Amino acid sequence: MSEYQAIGKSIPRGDTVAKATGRAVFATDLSRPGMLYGKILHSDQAHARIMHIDASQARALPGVKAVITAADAPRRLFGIYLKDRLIFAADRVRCIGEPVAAVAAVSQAIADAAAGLIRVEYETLPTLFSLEAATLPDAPEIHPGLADYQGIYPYIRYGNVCMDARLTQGDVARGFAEADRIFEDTYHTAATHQAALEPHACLAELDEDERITVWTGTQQLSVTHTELALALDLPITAVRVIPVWSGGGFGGRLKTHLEQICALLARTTRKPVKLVLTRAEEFTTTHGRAPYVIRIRTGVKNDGAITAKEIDVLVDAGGYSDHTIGTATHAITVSQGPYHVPNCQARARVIYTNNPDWGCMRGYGAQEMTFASESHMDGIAHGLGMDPVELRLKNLCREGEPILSTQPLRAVRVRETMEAALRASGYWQKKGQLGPHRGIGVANLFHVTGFLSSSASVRVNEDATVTILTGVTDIGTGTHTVMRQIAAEVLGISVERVRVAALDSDTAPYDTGSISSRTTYDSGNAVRLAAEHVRGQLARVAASSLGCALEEIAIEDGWAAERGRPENRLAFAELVAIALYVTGGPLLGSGSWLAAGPFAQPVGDGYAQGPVGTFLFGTHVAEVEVDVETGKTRVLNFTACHDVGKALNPAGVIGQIEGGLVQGIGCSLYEELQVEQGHIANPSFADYRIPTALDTPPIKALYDESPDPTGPFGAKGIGEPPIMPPAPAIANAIFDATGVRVLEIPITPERLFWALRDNGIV
Amino acid sequence: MATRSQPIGSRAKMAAIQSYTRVGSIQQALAQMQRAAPFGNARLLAGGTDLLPQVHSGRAAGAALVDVSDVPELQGISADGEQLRIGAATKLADIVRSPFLTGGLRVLADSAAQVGSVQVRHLATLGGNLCNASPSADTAPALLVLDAVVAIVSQAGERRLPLDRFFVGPGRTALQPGELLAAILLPGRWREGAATYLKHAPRAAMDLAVVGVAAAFSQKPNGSPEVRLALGAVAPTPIRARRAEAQLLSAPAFDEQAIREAAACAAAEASPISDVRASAAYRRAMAALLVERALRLVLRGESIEQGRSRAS
Amino acid sequence: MQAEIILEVNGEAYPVSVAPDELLVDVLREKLGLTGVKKGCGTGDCGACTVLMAGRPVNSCLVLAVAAAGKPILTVEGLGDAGHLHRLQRSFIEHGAIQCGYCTPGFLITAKVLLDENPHPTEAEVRAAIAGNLCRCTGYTTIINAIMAVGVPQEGDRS
Repeated sequence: MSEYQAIGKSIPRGDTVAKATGRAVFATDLSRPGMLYGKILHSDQAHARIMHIDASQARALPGVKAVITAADAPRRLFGIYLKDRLIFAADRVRCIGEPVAAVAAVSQAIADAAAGLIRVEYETLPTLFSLEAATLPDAPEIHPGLADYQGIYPYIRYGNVCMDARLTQGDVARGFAEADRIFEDTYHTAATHQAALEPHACLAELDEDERITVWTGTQQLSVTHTELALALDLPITAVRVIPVWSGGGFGGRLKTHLEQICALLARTTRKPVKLVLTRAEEFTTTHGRAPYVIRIRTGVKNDGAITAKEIDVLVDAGGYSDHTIGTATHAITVSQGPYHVPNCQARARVIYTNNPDWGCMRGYGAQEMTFASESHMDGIAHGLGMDPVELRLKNLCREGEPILSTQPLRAVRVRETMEAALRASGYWQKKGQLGPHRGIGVANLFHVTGFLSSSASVRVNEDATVTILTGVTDIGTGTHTVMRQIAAEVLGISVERVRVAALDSDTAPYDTGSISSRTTYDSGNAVRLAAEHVRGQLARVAASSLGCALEEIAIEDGWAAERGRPENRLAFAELVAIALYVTGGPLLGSGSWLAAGPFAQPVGDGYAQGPVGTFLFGTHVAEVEVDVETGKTRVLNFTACHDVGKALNPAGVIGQIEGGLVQGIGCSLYEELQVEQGHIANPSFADYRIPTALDTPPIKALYDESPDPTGPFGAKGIGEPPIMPPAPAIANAIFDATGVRVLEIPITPERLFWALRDNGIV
Repeated sequence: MATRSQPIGSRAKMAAIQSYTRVGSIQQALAQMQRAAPFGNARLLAGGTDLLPQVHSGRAAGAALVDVSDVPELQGISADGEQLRIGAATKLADIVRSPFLTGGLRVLADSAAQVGSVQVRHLATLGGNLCNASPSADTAPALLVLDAVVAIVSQAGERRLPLDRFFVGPGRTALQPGELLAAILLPGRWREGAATYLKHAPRAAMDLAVVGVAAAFSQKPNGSPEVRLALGAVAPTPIRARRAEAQLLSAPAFDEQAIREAAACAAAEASPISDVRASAAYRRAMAALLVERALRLVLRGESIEQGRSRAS
Repeated sequence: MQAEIILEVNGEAYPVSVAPDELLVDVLREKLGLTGVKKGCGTGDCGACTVLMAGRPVNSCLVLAVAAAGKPILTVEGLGDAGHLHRLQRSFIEHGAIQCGYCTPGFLITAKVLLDENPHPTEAEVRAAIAGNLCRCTGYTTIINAIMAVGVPQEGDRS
């Protein structure tokens, strides 16, 4: 029998009936009386001065209620890591897709037509589309005011480089000197898009107190709220954000995007305004994952032991920094991989260009780094004539050793995930035995989570049900169900008696939100603490009622009982009634879980992410068949094993593993935002190809449980890791199948075809 | 430099459709087209899967739509003696499961099955697929190797045209004002032959063909061989690779060398472009490869796997 | 020029006034309030807007409302509600086939059509049938399992 009654159960989520019947409300479904429809005019110039905006024809169109530009918006710079943007471009545009103006009208058709009537006079400026061009000594400055921008940290910045950070451990020069062999390669990862099925949308209105209210499907309620208020130059209490169901996050719904514009339209017209992006706008004006260039140089002994590793990351930020600084920080933080690298140096530079305004996607820099690092490990193995698995096993990181000059590793489980994935995939039986043009490849992942802050309250209601008050939104991952399971376990009641309240920014406790795989660990710990707090309140009442010492009270299985005297007990409902009506309520517990420090902290010349709460490991094995005449790769089988600490909801964990790895397969073989002269050439689901049900292989999704004492009931996290290893696992499998290594993703048929040709395979 | 910024991907004009009329017969359709003739904006609507996105992105602004999707004379597949007659408004989903398309004629069903998705195939029609005249239309190469003829109807009566003269350019057909495509006619004798359509695209579903190749082979009553080759997505229109066909037929035997040479010849007849989906060079290489594979299949019944293991 | 049409949706008649260029998906969602029908792309590339129309699964973003007049339409709202779930809805819930839920209504309609025509499909047939419905959250395995589970022959099934 399981030691837990709510934890470890695949409890069906509370939202699924509403979603299965079409009753769940998303931002795109919202409607308010008297609502107007918004449309944004985006820049079609990659770099240009705005000389004049003539909105007169647009304003004159019958049915148009407002046309706004930067002149109508606060001139308050905002941004996540670096405050480098405005709501609308003011004196210049720095990329295609940047908002320049917006319209509110009585119908979408009129709003669309009006946006087309706005005349913007641009004076083009020199454009920079490559990292080389943007970093030339005499390159024009895309952000002349860079030195004065406020940032979360005092980033090193110059020219078009908005962040230059370095992490060092040991002495790489000595490490390379000790090496018998040195391997070096440069890897490229393409810009990709979250491609959530629901386009970005929001609805804003002025309430009766003249406060701005915005409904939006956000991953980070608190962050969206504070950024919205900041951008509007308002106190946060003057703004209310109400979260609704979101049709997919994946890093695309982290903060604000449309909300400021929608709010300004609502305030100007004094009517509710709804803004919904078209699918083309979704691909071209929201923030896809930035393209990365990663050079890795590794020194090894002949027996495979790593002596030194040097990593150099270049990130194309596009016109604004958005989340790219954070992804770069995260990338170098995990750049040594789950390996013992005594001498390591990692550098990241985030560079402004006039490419689209890149942001982040699931993985947050670690997906890009994992492709590079795990392809590199395989290349080293091949160069040494070693099996790629043996090379990894030889170099696995150890409990207690520091990661890139920050805190020591804990809860290391990579050997275990490797063993499980290799066994389940039949790696050792299949390696070398698969037949012509078939191959098998392995990749590990290393990720960190547990940072920033979460707080929660737990309230016991008069009917002995329990309500959780949390600021974390459930973006479809099942977060709220896991919170319910945690509270139910702590209080010894059934999950059905626990619900999560529908809150908003007025009422929700602060939570950093659904980002970076942190909700189970951070938000879950906050809920656990809040539930324990209220359990303590209940225990005091029970002790008094049952006439025993507080330490003798056990609250479990729906009862509060005296240990050793089970007949001296109260049913949970009775206990609640006494607490509320006799001794006096309320029964309200609160809990708060803070990381030991900020998201990143200065470490030497750089910023490492940390200290973090815990460390995540995993291993993927991909089996592929390559049609060497066309370059098409078919994934035959895929195995994934993830270190999750404790699977609080196994079905939820499996759902994240399967869903994440399929996104990873998409990024490995098909997905790429094709940018030509700053313009995205494939802004549709027809040409930005995400996997269909005919493109996914048979999947074995496994998890390894070794409870982490710092996580709620031992849980660590799972949201992002599954998207990280597929690309290198597949690239390594393609190498195994063909002898050809492709150093960039996606490995499209054409890309592989030319690589095979160049190597004389075809 | 003054530029009027165009909103991305939005409806550029209000009232993108000027009028919509549903008709119940070919005569009614022709009458509606005549009524709209002075304005030149009549567009026939069948499935709408190509037309509606075009209308809403402003590429067919102000259209007077004539909905022919329910016209009985334009529906269905029937045998007309030795010939098969497919109504132009027959849905692709119905073509996929038609019991008339057996033997070599199955290639039409197979190609229709690769268009879009189940949902698209329940709207899209064969006539619509042809009239949209995309160079990469999946049904076109299959119909070309089956010697399809199109029946075009106007107030003046009916005229027939071999399909390869129907495509005039990307998105352009030989239809004149006042004409509509009524039916596609297939000679029944291809039932006795072998035919295949191979589509090269990154995903297993939903993609436009990067290259599409169809091949057909049969023997005439006197024993002499007939070969057809058609290529999609590698020229301004779907094309018959006639020089490659002739080359193959002049070869002493249908051996590997003859197949390779015919494939090279077909690739040379192609004039692919580079676009967001593929480069011209890759398309040309894939055209040759797919012709080889298609020929091995129809000439020798050899599958792609068999061909590969023989080659390696 | 507005047209006065009657849309038959989920067994009910809805008189509605539409412009010739209004899409069925928009009229269903915004004029009939059937927001269970989702809009993901507007160009027939994602399947989120799939409805049943005259017995066929179609992308409602590729259908003009005027063209849909008089043709019986089924949306997810007509499939079942919380008090009386359709077998497929229940199976999706039980198999963890719903994460963000935005693609779910489209999948349910496509799956219903598949099972009506082919009550016991193979996995390959299920994959082929749902290839026109994109999902970004689940990776499809749980969705396929949910559909296959409804397709398992039951005692007393009349095939």
